[in-house]
Amino acid sequence: MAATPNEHEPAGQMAMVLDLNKCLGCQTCTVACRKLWNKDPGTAYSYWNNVETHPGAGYPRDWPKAGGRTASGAPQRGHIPDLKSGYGEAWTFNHKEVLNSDSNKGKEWLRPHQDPKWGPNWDEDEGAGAYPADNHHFYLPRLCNHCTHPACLQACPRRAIYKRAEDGIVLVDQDRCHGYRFCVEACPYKKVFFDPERAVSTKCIFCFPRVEGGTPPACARQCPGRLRFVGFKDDPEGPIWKLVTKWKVAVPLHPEYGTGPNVFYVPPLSPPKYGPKGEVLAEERIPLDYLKSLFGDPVVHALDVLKAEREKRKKGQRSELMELLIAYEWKKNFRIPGHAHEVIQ
Amino acid sequence: MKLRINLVAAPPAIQPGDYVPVAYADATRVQTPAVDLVVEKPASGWRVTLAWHCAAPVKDIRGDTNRFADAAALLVPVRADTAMISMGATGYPVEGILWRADWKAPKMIRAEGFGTVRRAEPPGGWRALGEWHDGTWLVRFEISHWLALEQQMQLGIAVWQGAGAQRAGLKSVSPDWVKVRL
Repeated sequence: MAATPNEHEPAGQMAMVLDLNKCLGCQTCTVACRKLWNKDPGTAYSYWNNVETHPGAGYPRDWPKAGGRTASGAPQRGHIPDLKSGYGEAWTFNHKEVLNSDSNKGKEWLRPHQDPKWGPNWDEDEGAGAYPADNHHFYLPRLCNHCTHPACLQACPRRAIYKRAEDGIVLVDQDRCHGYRFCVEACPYKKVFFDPERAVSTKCIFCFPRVEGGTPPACARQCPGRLRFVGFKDDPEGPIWKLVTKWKVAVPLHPEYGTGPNVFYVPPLSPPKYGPKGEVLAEERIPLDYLKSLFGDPVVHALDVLKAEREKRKKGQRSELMELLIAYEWKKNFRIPGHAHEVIQ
Repeated sequence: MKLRINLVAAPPAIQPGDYVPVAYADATRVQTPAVDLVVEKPASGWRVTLAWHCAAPVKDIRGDTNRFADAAALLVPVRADTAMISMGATGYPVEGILWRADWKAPKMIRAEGFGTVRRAEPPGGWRALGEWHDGTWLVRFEISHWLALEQQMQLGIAVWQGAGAQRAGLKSVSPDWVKVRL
């Protein structure tokens, strides 16, 4: 795919792998990100990092619908979600009334001022299937993919979005941004957000000030499940190269969008279905076709490798892959050489 | 000078970036077919009035993520032989005044081709006031002194309909410079 004028091959590409078999849906990553970066009033609705339940509508609702590129590489027109039915507005609560309800003790319940009909994580844990035979769900943490060919960058008529040469992190130059939102529209993952108060686009910055100092992004470092791995994609000593290239157990989300995501997922293994009498069946609960719809055909190989390595471990044999994924030492999840700080002109 | 100017849709095919020309290839229908232009030269400065039909005004974009404001701009070439449709080119700058329905004050704009627009606070004495009434926007630009306009005596016009998600190069424009004759 041809590079756009402000898109160039970076010297190295920072990347992340998330092991979905370990995600508890605790949202610690979401909170860590928000507390660090999203305190402006206009970003109250936006989550650079979110964790959504799958099967489910996701955040914003039904995001995987449009944008990205066709099979031939041509841009496809996307859409801009609205606040109420797309993202879900940030609710405010009657904290004051509850805390000052001395004269009315026990009668004032905590509740949102709005009458919400939708919001981030609205369908948490719902999943699909019927209990107890084949109900299933898993958590999908999502952030900007810092794509190799970012649709947002390609869409911006102002060249306000750029990909850093030193690590491939994709950023919005908010001094150049005029709030046109072609980036929001074009990103098929819906991971560029519009701040209507400041009238500019905002997005995950892969915690670049931390990364420049050799520290992982907040979402990865704070994860209690140690499911996130961070490093340069082509570093053969690092976890990303091992999981993506060597073991091929980490695959990108919706590769068919053609943007070359640099966030990868170790797909979820399934518990078996139960038969009518409670007997364990040989069928897996999460339909393989559903996983293929998210991760493409390479998910099949990834699952096969995971199963084979898990079996080895069960037999008491060593498995480099399982040891890496178990993350006995959290520091081994990250291999981030500090590098030069960006100089803002 | 009073004129009705027929506008055209700015061609998507020549927009900057790789997305708009393809994703909006079908955006060739003009959303604001005409503006009524009045140019006056009071004792000092300029008064330019634009009026156009707008059935659904958008005056505020706060509170939602997919709302775009109505807007209008006047553009003037700094030197002769400057292309209007591309907003000038390198070495052929244009400058203008941009009014937006959600702004308290207009911005001055400068450009040397597509995608190069820079917004700045306008000089003192540059004002714009918009009023929407009964399906029509009436925007009056009061410009204390505009050297480029005095030298070139030509204007370009652009109008954005927020309700139609018009922004950036998705706009209705005069097909070329309009000669100012007083």
